[in-house]
Amino acid sequence: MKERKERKESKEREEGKATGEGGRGAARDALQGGRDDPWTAAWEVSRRKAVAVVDCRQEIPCDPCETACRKGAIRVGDDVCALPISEPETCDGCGRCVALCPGMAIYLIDRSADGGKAAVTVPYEMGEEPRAGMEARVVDGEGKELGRGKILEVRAMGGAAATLLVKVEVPETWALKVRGVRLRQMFIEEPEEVEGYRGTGDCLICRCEEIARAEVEKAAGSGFRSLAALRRASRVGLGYCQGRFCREPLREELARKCGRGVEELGIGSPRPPLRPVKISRLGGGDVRDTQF
Amino acid sequence: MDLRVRRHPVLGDMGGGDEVTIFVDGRPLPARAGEPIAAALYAAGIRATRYSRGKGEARGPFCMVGRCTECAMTVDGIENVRTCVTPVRDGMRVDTPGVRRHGPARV
Amino acid sequence: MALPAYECPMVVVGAGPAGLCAALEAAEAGIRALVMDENERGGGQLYKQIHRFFGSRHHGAGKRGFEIAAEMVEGCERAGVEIRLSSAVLGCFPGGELLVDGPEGVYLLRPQATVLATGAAERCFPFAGWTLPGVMGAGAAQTLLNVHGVLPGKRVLMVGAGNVGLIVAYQLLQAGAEVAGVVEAERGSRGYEVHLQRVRREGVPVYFRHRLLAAEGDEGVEAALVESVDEGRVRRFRVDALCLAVGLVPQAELAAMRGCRIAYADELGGFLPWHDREMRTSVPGVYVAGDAAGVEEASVAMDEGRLAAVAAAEDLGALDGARAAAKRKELLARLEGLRGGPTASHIRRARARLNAG
Ligand SMILES: Cc1cc2nc3c(=O)[nH]c(=O)nc-3n(C[C@H](O)[C@H](O)[C@H](O)COP(=O)(O)OP(=O)(O)OC[C@H]3O[C@@H](n4cnc5c(N)ncnc54)[C@H](O)[C@@H]3O)c2cc1C
Ligand code: SF4
Ligand code: SF4
Ligand code: FES
Repeated sequence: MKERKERKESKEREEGKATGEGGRGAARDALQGGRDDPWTAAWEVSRRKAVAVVDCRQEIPCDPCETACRKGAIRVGDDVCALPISEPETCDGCGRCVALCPGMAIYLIDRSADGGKAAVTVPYEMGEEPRAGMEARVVDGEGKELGRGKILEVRAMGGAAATLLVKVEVPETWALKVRGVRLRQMFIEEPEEVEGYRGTGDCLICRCEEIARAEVEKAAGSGFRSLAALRRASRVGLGYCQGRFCREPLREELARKCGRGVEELGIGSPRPPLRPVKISRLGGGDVRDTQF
Repeated sequence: MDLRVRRHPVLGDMGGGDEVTIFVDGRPLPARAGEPIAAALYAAGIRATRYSRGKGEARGPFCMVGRCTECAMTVDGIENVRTCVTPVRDGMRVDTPGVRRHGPARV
Repeated sequence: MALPAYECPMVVVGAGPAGLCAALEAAEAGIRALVMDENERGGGQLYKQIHRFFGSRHHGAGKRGFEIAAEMVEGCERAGVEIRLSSAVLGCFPGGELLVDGPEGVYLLRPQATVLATGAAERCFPFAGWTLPGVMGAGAAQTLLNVHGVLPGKRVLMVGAGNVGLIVAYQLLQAGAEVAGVVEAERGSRGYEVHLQRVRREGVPVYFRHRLLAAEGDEGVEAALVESVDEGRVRRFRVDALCLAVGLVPQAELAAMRGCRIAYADELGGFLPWHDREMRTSVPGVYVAGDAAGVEEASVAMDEGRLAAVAAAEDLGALDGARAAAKRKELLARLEGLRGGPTASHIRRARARLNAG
């Protein structure tokens, strides 16, 4: 087993929460700094056979890749949050881990055929059905289209509701970039610019009684300090939904208005019935909902 | 508008949706047996389940689990039935409560 | 109105992963729990999840949510656990009685032990046009999609790039809808990177540092206005549905009615019944587990459900101290493992605060 040094480091960092534009690079640096990256070894071995590349870079509580592999070629270990480590030599390219990884973060690469081509196998769960012989758009991890690839093979794996494994042929230089195939034509329409938008920010807060935020603010401004008082003053939260809908926003609004913390306002005193009771239960009609 | 999913890559065949007929404001609407009323309406692109009492604005299902009460309609003459948790029955009459006055103004 | 009342050793409210695991663990200790759920199906959140779950081998990870749900329900059947579906618990009185509305009618239960595993509710926030049909919670969209086979719209905008927003965005694509984008006010996703990647790979733009201003439309949503936080630039997305995935709130009402002390932890979703590490609330005989005890994950919910049942069994005298301690040790270690990663630092922080009092 390899060292898990980088895991400790990042645990100490503790800030690895953000996984958007900021966090990504840092996570990857930490990963690649501490040991061989998951790609180098797989790349070498893929010259001879199909191997799994585990592209999982965040320590999340997850280990199906380990349980999926009957060869023991992927290890997460006792610490469920540890990053999986693969052993390309042991891997026989069966693809079970590709099908079962919830993050769809594993793929197979195979460069054993000559002619500057590689075969990449990715998981696929979209509606448009892939078939061998079709041309598919091949995309990288960010969704950027790399170009086209020919589908060589499609197989289903992973239980009754299976995942498809799609093997595409691509130029060898793409082998480590390809992360997905796309069959659908996407029409991502650019949103249109809106000049000089001036919304008042006002809107209903209580949907049932149709009470606007401005009214709530006014009531809160005139000294109401609790949800109960606010309710009495404006009927807010007293509609058919019994405040189930607006309670949270209302509490936040009130807290903001009175300069108090949400937690200070308390949860209130919920009373039964929690849901509208069907009158049938009390001996009446069939489906009617009512309140006590 | 048809918003039904008929084939799903994970769930497989999800059925057509014309096993039973309900009557929505008097008009016949095909539905899948056993589905909630709100789903049958939504599938046909009928998104408004009621018009609010004060302003007469359209409202539609918000939670789909019986909590928000936005989907409450008049079913077989009985008011305030949460349609997201009430299954369709053949021949059921579903009426939209409230009177439409206006939607929120375009900003 | 005199309602029929029934005595029973243990009632579990909620047939999600927390509740079902609590019942399974109780059965192992020889207690026959009664599980109540207002849904028509058991499994809680899981029966509408079609993606493969992360988590560990102890939690069925790698299988799809609905498959895990079915296995747990079967496990309960084998163990002789009775699950009463379409049965809502409407109230919990200070004396410990539960008011139930189920197919049998309205009745009272008088359990010796009560496990509250009611899960979480979707948070929503008001904005101009939020009352328009077509604006809905991400969970509602998921129910429409995966349970009823109906698209919430042909072109959808998702608000919130946490795990729920990302997973539901992906499920929208799977069912054949277009996702015009995922809008997120923060600089990055709180969700797992693999989920963000899956959505991006399908060509869906993710707009960080953007916020939703308003929904427009007449009979239903026709467009959404979104502002970039840093530049103040406003853009209009033509969509016919708007899904809100802006967080979950523990359902703590029953605990509050019962008189349990309520604590507050922003990181765990807001107000929740205070509980100790063994899932005991401040009221003897009342236990909490799962999202109701702080929003986390299904795997955590399962182990918390088991912990709650161990505590209840011990308190009822069905489990001796040594066996209870051994089980607890294993479960607590597993929970510590699940919460051990950098993505759970806020959870650890909140839990430490909670345990301190
Ligand atoms: C889109 C999405 C994706 C997710 N993906 C994952 C994942 O991949 N891995 C993971 O580990 N977690 C995941 N989760 C989180 C996971 O689903 C929840 O953490 C888990 O379901 C919580 O379990 P629970 O038993 O506490 O609550 P729930 O599953 O919510 O169950 C609570 C049950 O209580 C019932 N109930 C509530 N109040 C009452 C009442 N008064 N009377 C009767 N019944 C009542 C409800 O009907 C419900 O069935 C996901 C969540 C969402 C929304
Ligand atoms: S492809 Fe098969 S052998 Fe290789 S790591 Fe994955 S599961 Fe193991
Ligand atoms: S199953 Fe996938 S997401 Fe989970 S740890 Fe393994 S590689 Fe990462
Ligand atoms: S949609 Fe919320 S109660 Fe029906």
